[in-house]
This record gives sequence, C-alpha cells and structure tokens, in this order.
Amino acid sequence: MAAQPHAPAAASSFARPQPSESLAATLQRSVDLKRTAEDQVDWANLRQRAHAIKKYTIEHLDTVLLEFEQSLRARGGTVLWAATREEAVAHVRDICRRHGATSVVKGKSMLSEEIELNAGLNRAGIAAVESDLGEFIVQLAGQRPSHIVGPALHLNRRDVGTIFAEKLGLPFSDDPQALMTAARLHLRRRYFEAGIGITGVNFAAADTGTIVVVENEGNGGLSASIPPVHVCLMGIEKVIPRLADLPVFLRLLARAGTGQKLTTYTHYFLGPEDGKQLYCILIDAGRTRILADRRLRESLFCIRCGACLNVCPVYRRAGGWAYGSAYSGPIGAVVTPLLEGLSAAAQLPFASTLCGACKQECPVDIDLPHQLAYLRQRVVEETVQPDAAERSLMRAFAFCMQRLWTYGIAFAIVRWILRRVAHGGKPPAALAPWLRARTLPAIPPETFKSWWKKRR
Amino acid sequence: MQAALATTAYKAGQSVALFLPCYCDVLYPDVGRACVALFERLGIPLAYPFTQTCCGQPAFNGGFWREAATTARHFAAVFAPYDWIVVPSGSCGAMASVFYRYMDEQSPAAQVGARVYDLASFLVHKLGVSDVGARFPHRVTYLDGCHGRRELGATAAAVTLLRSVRELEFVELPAVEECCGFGGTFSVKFDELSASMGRAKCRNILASGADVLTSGDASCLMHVSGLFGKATVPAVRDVRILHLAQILAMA
Amino acid sequence: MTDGARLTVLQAIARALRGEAAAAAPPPLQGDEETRPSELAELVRSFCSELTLLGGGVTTVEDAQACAAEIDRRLRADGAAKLAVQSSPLAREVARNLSGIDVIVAREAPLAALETCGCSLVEAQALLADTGSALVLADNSGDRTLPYLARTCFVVTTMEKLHPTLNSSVLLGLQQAAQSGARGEAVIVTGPSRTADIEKILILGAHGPAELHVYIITGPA
Repeated sequence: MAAQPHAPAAASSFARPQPSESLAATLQRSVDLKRTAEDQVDWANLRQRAHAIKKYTIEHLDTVLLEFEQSLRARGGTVLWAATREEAVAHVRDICRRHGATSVVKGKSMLSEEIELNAGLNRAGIAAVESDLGEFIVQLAGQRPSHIVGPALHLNRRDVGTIFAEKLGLPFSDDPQALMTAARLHLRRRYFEAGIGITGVNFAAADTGTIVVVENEGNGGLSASIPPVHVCLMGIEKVIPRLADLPVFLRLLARAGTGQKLTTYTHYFLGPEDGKQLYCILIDAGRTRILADRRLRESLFCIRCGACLNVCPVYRRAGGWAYGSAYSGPIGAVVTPLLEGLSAAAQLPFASTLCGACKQECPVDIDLPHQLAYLRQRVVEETVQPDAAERSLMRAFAFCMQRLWTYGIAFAIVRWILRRVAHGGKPPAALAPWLRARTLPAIPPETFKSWWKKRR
Repeated sequence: MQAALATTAYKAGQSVALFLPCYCDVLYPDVGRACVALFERLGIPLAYPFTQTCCGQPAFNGGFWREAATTARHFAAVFAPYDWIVVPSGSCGAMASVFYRYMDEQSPAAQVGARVYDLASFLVHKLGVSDVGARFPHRVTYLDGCHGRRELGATAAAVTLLRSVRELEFVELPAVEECCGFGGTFSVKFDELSASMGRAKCRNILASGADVLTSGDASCLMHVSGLFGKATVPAVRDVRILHLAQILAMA
Repeated sequence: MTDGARLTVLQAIARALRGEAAAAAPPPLQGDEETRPSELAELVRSFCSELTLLGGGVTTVEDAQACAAEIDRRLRADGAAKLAVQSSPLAREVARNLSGIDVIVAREAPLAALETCGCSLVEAQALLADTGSALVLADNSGDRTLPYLARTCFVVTTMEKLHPTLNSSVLLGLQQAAQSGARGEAVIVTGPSRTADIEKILILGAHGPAELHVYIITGPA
C-alpha cells in the first residue's frame, strides 16, 4: 500500500497539536537513556573532534568525495552519482533491471524516504520490502515514518498489534516481543527472495573506500549479505576522511541516538566478494544548496542521531508528520526548507521558541537555533510569507523604535488597546491567539520612563 | 557564550547604564525601579539613557533583519558612551550580546553589544557580588529563561544570588530546562503549542511547592502569569510572581 | 547519465565552496587508549561485565576442545540440530570437536541451507573490553551471514585478541585488511540483536541472534 506523498508542512499539525501521552513518554525514555549512558568518556572532547572532522570534510567535500570514489572503485565497488532524487531513483531502477530483480529488501534508510524510492520502484513494478521493524510497521500501516531513528514511535503497542492483526492476518497481540517475533518470521524469506539489498550509509571512509552502516536489529547485515547485489544510498555529506575517524562518530551516534555505548552491529563493508556486486550511489538532491549557504552549511554535519527530536518540546507535541518531510524535529526544520523548497517549508523555522535544547544535545554541536533564526530571514527575503500585514507592522515597528517620540506614540497606542481590552473591549485580531489561553498583563499606572522623568 | 566572563571586572568610576526592555518600561516598570533601588544600595551609579527604545528582538525573531538592524543602530548610538550595559532580561541580553554579532560582526551594534550583560551575570561575574543585602523570607523557585540559560550561561549566577538572599528558601523547579513556550511571536503564531508548553511549566511550578516564582525574564513570567490568570491549570495555590531584580531589591 | 550527474554535482560543490578559506588538513588523530586500563585481568573483567549487561554470555576455556565441550553442553539444552561454521582456522578446529550436532561449512553451503541452522560459530579477530564487542571478518557470502542469521551465535577467540577499546591497533588491523584488498565485511558485534522500535521498549532478539556467547581460549594456541 502506498504511503501518503510528502505534503507541505501541515499548518494544522502545528496549529492544533495533539500531544500524545505515549509519544511523550517514549521520547522521555530516549532522553533518559542518553543521560544514563555511562560516562567514562570525555563527551565534550569527542563532540569537538567530531565537529572539526566534519568541518574539514564539508569544506573539502569535492576532494574527499573523489578520494572515496577512487578508493571504492579500487575495492571493486561501482560508484554512481545523482544530482537529484529522480536520478537516484532511476539509478536504482536501472540496477534492478540490469540484475533482473523484481523485489528489493531494505535496511533502514531515511535518505530512501527523502528521495521517495519505494514509490519510484513500485511504479516500475518492483516491490520494496522494509525489514527494519519500525519501517516494516509503518509500511504495513501505509504511513510515513515519524522519527529519524524510530519510524513507528508515534504508535503504541496496541496500534502495532492491530496493524499486524489486520495486515498479516495474525491473532492480536500487543506484546512487543511477540510482535518482533512475528515480524522476524514474516521477513525471513524476503532476504533470500530479493534480488537486491538496499541500505543507507552512516559514514564512508575516503581513505579506504569503506562503507559503514550501524544498526541494532541485524536486518541490515542480512539485507547486505544475502542478496547478490548490495546498493548503498549515500548522501554526499556522509563521507569522512579516514577510517581512523570512525570511533569518535560511532560512540557519539550510539549514545545520542539510543543511549548505547555502541550499536549492536557496526558494519564495515569492504567491497563485493566474488560473484557479488556493490553499488554506492552518491546523492546530492539539494545538499549543495545547503553547502552554498555559509550559515547553513553546518547542518550538513548531522549524523542523523535523532537526539534533537527527542528533546524538542515542539516535536513532542506536533509529532513527526507535521514537518512534511523525511526529516523532522529541529534538524528537519533546518534542512527541509532547502531540500524541499523555502516556500513549501516556510512555516518550519518559525515553529520554534529557539530555546536551544537541540543544540545542547547535538553530538556534533550544530547551532540549530541560530540556523532557524537565519532561515526566518531567508523566508522573509525570498518568499511571500509572512503576509503584507505583518511586513507593514514590522516596518512601522522599526520606524517607531528609531526615535523616542515615535516610540512613545507606539506604546501609548499599545497601552490604550490593552486598557480597552481589559475593560471588555473587542481585542484586535492579532491578540486573539494570546487571549485564548491567557489573560493580558495589567496596565501599570505609569511607565518606567514617566517615573524616571518625574524623579529627575 | 559571552567571551571572557571571568577576566575583566567592573572598576570604580566606570559608567554603568541600565537597558530596560521596552515591554518592561511599558508593562513592568517595577522591574526597572527595582534595578535602580538595587544599584543604589550597592553604591554603583546607574545611568538610564532616556532615549533608549528597543533591542529589536521582535523584528529579528520574525526574520526581519533589516528592521532589526535599524533598531540595533539606534541602540548602539544610545549606549555607545557607556562602559557597561546591564539588562534585567536574558532574552534582550542575548539579542544585544549574541545576535547583533550573528547578524553583522562588523556593525557598531555588535561592538556595543559585547558590553551588554544580563543582571545576574553582571552582579556575580563583573561586580563579584553574590550577597546584595536582600531579605525575602519566602519559598522561591526560579524559572530559567532559555536565552539566559543557553545563550548567556546566566543560570549559575542567578541561583547564586537567590541562595544568598537572607531567609529565602530556594526550591528547584522540576524540568527547569524545558522551555516555557513564550518565544516572542511564537506565543501568538503557534498559540496552542505555546499554551501547551506553558501549561507543563505551570504544573511544574505548582509541583515545586514554591510560594513565589521568579525569573531573569519578565517575558516568560508574563506568559506564565497569563496562563495562571486564565486558570487553565486547575491551580489551587496562589503563586506570587516577581522578577529577580524585585527580589534582590527587597531589604 | 552517470558522468553528467557526476560533473554536475562536483561543479555545484566547487561553486558552493568557491573562495573559502579552509583548514589545510584534517584534525590530527587522537588515540584514546591512554586513559584506559590495559592489564589483562581488568580487560577480562570489563569485557565480561559489559557483554553480560547486554544480555550476552562470556566463558573462558583452556583450549579448543574445552570450548567445543562447553558449546556441546549448551547445545544439548538448546536442542539445535545444525550449526553453521565460519571458515576460520580456530572456528573450524572448535567445530571439529563438536559432537551431537551437524556442522555445515558456511562458505561451501548454498545460502538457503544456512537459514535452517539454529546456531552459528564464528571467530573474533578482536574483542573490545570497554563495550563488550567482538570484531568478525568475513570475506564470502556464507560467512557474512553467520553473525545475523541463526538464533544463537557462538564467538570463539583467544586471550591476546582482547583490546581495551576500538583503538589504533584494532583500527590498524582493519586498515590492513582494507588495504590488502580484503572484501566482504568486518562487523563489530556488541551483544545479541535488539530493537526498541515499539514505544522505545527494549527487546532482545530481533532479526539477528537472540543469544550471543563468547568463548575466550586462555591456553596456548
């Protein structure tokens, strides 16, 4: 069953959030797991090193990618490039055709969601089977993933039990262990039936052409090793210079993503063994647009751990689908405008108080709140949002704040309006949202300036 | 983070100016009066440049950097003559000391902004004072404004000051690191998210058992106070709300 | 099409980075081993403690025969009929000493046959004490599936393979493997497979093994 296509950020989801208690509890568990992850390690030091390695890489992205390409080719891998998501999907379709594959089995890849791979393959008559438990659940349910690390965290166990009962024809159970076993059994033969195994890439070491994928369930290892062809989907920002850089990132990703010391399986793919093929598709799809903006470039350092989502009070309440993108939460709000288009995603940078909890959690120290503040400016400069009324108001505000007497008039008006509302007058439309849940502050008899003047 | 917090300190004879947020001038003048009284007690001459208006944060937050820059230019002109600029607000403090620089490193506003400190950081790190001679015999909890906490690192200073107030019983606010949900225009553009976050904050305030709520930011307090006023949380206690400056001014 | 896209992307990157001052070299590598204990007893203690916390098992044995005896004991309780073994000298030697179970050499068997094996036996090239991890190298499809396919996975290795952490000597080994043209996969296995995709509730035993047992041979090879 096809999932809904990406929709522009649904205003309704941010405007009328339906906070789910189970999602809140789930996210809190994620945050707690991260906090209690053992601390013999100097995390501040690791974070700083990771940031520096990513900075170097991104600032030399073309040379590092070329080194990776050369190294992977030397190991017998095939490197393909895709400027757009359509080109990436076309590559995968071509590989399927070339090898006569009518079905593919997938390890978890948010990039594959971003490029809408499954829909593209389905249109060409190729089945795409998700093997990661969370992805498998949302695929059965015909839904989009709602979280970068846990695609089905918006569902509780009863929801999952219902989906399995309906779609797999199983007796209802809401025991997570039983549900996992059911998924395992159902998927077992898929690895053997699929002509192609597709995974994402967490890191790719340029010096040795090694592709690194981390996971906990084991389906990634099965998807990569059983089918005769392994296709790796890689965002161009995933490359790092040296194999020896990996331990820093592996520790940070495990801790920030799932509160672990290391993920259960850290795969270093070394190139196809005899009789097999390994393809790595390097995908741009808007990343060079992010690269070109110096203030946003740092968002390419992201290692997709999901920690910013777990701690974001807005994500917790609005949920992952509100962002209308494969990437939700604070990092989603930063990258989506450039990947999907500023106008389509114009609301995202504003759906935040810039509290900075995300930056505090980020294992590579990306300054997300500053980037959100900056994106607001790009929205104002480059799109038709905010509307003319707000633009006029801002111009008037700036004019009034430039000199004392206009400041005085502006605030005299404000006090007059507030006094009127306090006495039962109809509030201006702009204040109505405030008044839905809050009272207005009382108007003091005199302003500070007035008091100061009298004093002198 | 503000650079060199520990290195330079206030020296007698230097000029200190009060930067009072525009909404405090108009809605919470007691905050300004408390700052004046506090500095009087400390024996530090405090100037109030009368032509000051606003730091420009509403424009910056809305993405209107040109309008914010215009306002910042005026701010810079007003405060340029002073050695130190003190503001009883973490968010306005962050606007001047962090975001002026973020918008335009080379601007006069960025240079003047580098001399702006929130009240707590100035008292503790620049004056080297933690006991300001205040007395306030109540159970108090502190709401940590996010900009003050994360952009300015002002939390420790604020808590130090409160703990040094005579007869004040300090209680921690549960989930103090969670944003109250004000966020400037966020409170009207995304009012349900804002109210939801605010209600969670109100529940935690009640759970703390405090009689008094304080903060370094009157804007956060305005939001919480508005929610309490609407009694959307089944609140039973009457929690008194005071800005940090007001408590420190109590003798 | 490939060459067109390649050029397009590289040009876009060059344009984006045009005229930028950037660091000349990547940040120097920092070793982590200085802060870690390195005496054997402490390493064993740490490794056991970490892997046990993750739901795995650790047993020290004197030699390959003793190892096989331990595995036989466990298999009798487990009831598995077939074991798939990696083509590494130590794993083969242990497998030779097993009784009461059919052994299939993974490298030589059709992949589908491996699916019917209830357990697998692999050799670890390194053990990491700080995380309870085992590094397994596999250069053919059959061997590659062994850490993931069966419900129970046995890992055998020797004492000197124990390292404090994923440090430079382990990485050097990986690097050498990578540079010498080794293909296939090196995988660091840290405990049995798991998932928390439902409500963030931890479940042991996902698509991979539900049980992982490490046997460390203490005697001479």
